[in-house]
Amino acid sequence: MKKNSADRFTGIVNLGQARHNDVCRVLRVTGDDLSSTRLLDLGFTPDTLVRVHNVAPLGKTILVELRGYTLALRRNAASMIEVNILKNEKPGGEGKNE
Amino acid sequence: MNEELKAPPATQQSEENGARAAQYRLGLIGNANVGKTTLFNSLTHSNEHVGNWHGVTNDIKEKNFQHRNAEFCLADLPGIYSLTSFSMEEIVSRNYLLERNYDMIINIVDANNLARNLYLTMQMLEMNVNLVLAVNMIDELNSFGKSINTRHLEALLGVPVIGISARKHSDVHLLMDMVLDGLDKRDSFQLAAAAAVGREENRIRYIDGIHGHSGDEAVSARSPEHLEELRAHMFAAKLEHDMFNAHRLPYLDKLPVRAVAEILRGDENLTLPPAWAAVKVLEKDRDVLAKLNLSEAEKQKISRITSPLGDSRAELAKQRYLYIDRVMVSAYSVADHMPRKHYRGDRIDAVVLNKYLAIPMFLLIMLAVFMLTFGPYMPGTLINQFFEFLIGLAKDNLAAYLTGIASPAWVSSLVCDAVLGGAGAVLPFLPQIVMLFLALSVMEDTGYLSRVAFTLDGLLNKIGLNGRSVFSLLMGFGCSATAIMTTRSMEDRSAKIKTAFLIPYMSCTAKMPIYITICGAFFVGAQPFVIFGMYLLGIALALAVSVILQKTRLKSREQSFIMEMPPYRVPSAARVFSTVWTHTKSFIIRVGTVIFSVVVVNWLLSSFSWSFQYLDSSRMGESILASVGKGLRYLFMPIGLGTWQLTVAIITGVMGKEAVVSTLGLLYPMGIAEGISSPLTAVTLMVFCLLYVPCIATMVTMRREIGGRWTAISLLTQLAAAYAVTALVHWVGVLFTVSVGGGVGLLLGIAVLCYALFWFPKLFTARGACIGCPGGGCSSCKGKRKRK
Repeated sequence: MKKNSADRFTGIVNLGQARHNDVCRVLRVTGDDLSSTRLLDLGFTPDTLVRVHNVAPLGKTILVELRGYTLALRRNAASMIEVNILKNEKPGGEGKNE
Repeated sequence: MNEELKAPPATQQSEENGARAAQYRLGLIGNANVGKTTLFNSLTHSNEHVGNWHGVTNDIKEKNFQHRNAEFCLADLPGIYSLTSFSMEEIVSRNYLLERNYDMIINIVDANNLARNLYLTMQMLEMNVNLVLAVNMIDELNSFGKSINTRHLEALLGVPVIGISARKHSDVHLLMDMVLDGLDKRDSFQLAAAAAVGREENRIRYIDGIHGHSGDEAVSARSPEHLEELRAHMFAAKLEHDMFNAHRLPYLDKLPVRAVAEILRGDENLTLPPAWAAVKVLEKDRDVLAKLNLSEAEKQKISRITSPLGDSRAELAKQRYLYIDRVMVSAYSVADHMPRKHYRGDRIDAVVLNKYLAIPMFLLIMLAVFMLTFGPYMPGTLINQFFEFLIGLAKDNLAAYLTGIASPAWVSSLVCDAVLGGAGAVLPFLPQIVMLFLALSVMEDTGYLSRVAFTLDGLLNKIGLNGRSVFSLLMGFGCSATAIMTTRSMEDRSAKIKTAFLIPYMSCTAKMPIYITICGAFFVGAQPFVIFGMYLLGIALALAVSVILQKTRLKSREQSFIMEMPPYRVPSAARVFSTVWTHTKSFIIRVGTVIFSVVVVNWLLSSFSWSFQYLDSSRMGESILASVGKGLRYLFMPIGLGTWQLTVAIITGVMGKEAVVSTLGLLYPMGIAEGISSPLTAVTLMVFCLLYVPCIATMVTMRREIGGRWTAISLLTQLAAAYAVTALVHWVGVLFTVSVGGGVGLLLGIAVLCYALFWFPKLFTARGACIGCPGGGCSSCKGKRKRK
């Protein structure tokens, strides 16, 4: 399952597999239930840029930034979001994800 | 449309000079944590609890207020992200909107998070809700060097927009002016429309009158085809009005809303606005689909229309956001010389949310809070001691005075022993309670509590809770009853019940006086550590109980935890103060009512014998209370609390835990240290008070939130836990005093027993459950387990 660092930036992965400071572009939200609707409502629509802001101590929960706000997500919810990883960038860089 | 027009014209134009007779109903809607309650408080001058956390409000709260001679009734609705039917709050808010029992909606949005907030606004505009957009925290946005052109936003969205700061109360009156303006416009429009309808009716009546005699033409005009045509025409007009007249939402044209609405029109008894129903069909909303009850043919038609879109939900969300993005581009501007918005937050997050530092830091902060509250020479303790000194002084002087004027002994006893010694024993703890609430509300207001929830979420997930429970559990350190109320916003019922189960193990402020009094008598110098230990013991037991609950019906599935992280904010003094004040007030009221009456009743019962003869404190052993306590003390004998005074204290504690201290103060007039003989008994008493049933207020709240059955189970669990743990502490302690080796042996034995108890059910289910069942939660193994 683990993708090596070169691979990570090419294929489709889910947001749950993204690492700290990864900047991703959303492709689609899978699933047909209410939680996927919720993710869409929260703004995980195609082409949105998302940055992984933080990973909680046990790694089960991640903090992501999108559309100018921050959201805590469990990995199982995050895994419903298919993304392309664009780059890995420290927050000191320019704020591209607005 | 008729229904909307039928609504009585709210203001009588004739009353323009005097006060308006009618009351306008306003609804306050917005995302979670955008300051709805702050605005609510600021408009209505009330004092509802606010926090930098989502879901603080979980019910509709209504309050009346006046603005420029107009009466308003403002409803504070729970925070929602969208009008789907995902959670209880969304359903509450959506029904509120659908019932149309309001004159106007104030949609409050967070200026710092406008895009996501406007999503809800879009959904309301789709419903054709009459709204005013209040862009809150505009001051904060401006301080980041960003600005919003409200005029532009107004033009784009077609609704009145105003930038406010609810926190600083700035421009709130302008918002209300805008609301009033909108209402006046609506009223005059409604009057005009009603007049138009009246005219039309007259015209029809007139035509009927003319053609009534000749007949032919009228009959042909009412032929079914003609009626059908008329209805179609009316429908188109209604649709047009619904969708496009009031608000311009160009993105809806990119979706087959009209086509779907045309299909829905076939439904005779369509109660929902067709355009909105069409949007909801595209969104695959379960509630609306169930209400529409579409036929197979209609379903097929709809799916033919929507199939080119792929996932119509995703498409709808995408179109909404694309439109919002366009709005944002033209209404939002950033000064380029200003620092990046999250810069400060990022720096703090790097430390606070650090993988290794986060949890130790949380514990450290909690310890610091405890030191500040309970530590010697700390403000809390010092003020406490000052209060105690004052009460002691009052007691001595009053006693001397009462003896001086030769009043009967029972008066002096009632005033000094009961009122000052009993209820007065609790009051000095006020400063410490204030300190604890202060710390909690500062942590909540800065946004740190949300970070703690995020940090601990993974850990709590293991025991079937989620980050949201952290908030409720931490609130439990304040007051169990309020904490249980905060569980209402939780989506997962089993997690909610479980959280409510665990809250009583969090030592609430009412138990604090018990610890402080006992520690003051037995563990001088080590108070903060002993008290912190008590809190930790509570947490440890909560964890143990939740692990056990995971093995019962309350086992929760893997849940999705989605929570917005609020930005760091400097806590507002006014808000922190108002939270602290609310709790302080309720503490004083509780001392003045519940505790006071408990003390007086106790005094009565302990000062008179069965033959109603007054007894002074040295002969208390012959009183009614003593004989009752002596009867019941056998219950507490096995756990080492078998004196009648302690028995009575524990029982009165159910009314409110502070009563334990009051009762002890009354029944041990020479001081607690004398009554409770050994430190061991002191510890046992503290442990038992920590764990046994919560106060009546908490029980009532619990019953309301999770139902009587679960409350009963919770109470029984707590009693069992209290009894078991206290017995353990007592007997281990006793053995330790006899021989250290024996104590260690007993502890080891218990450890082995516990392990066996945990291991045994595992063995049991492994045999009973189907092998390879993921998580052991499928229906077939549940059935098997039950049968066993």
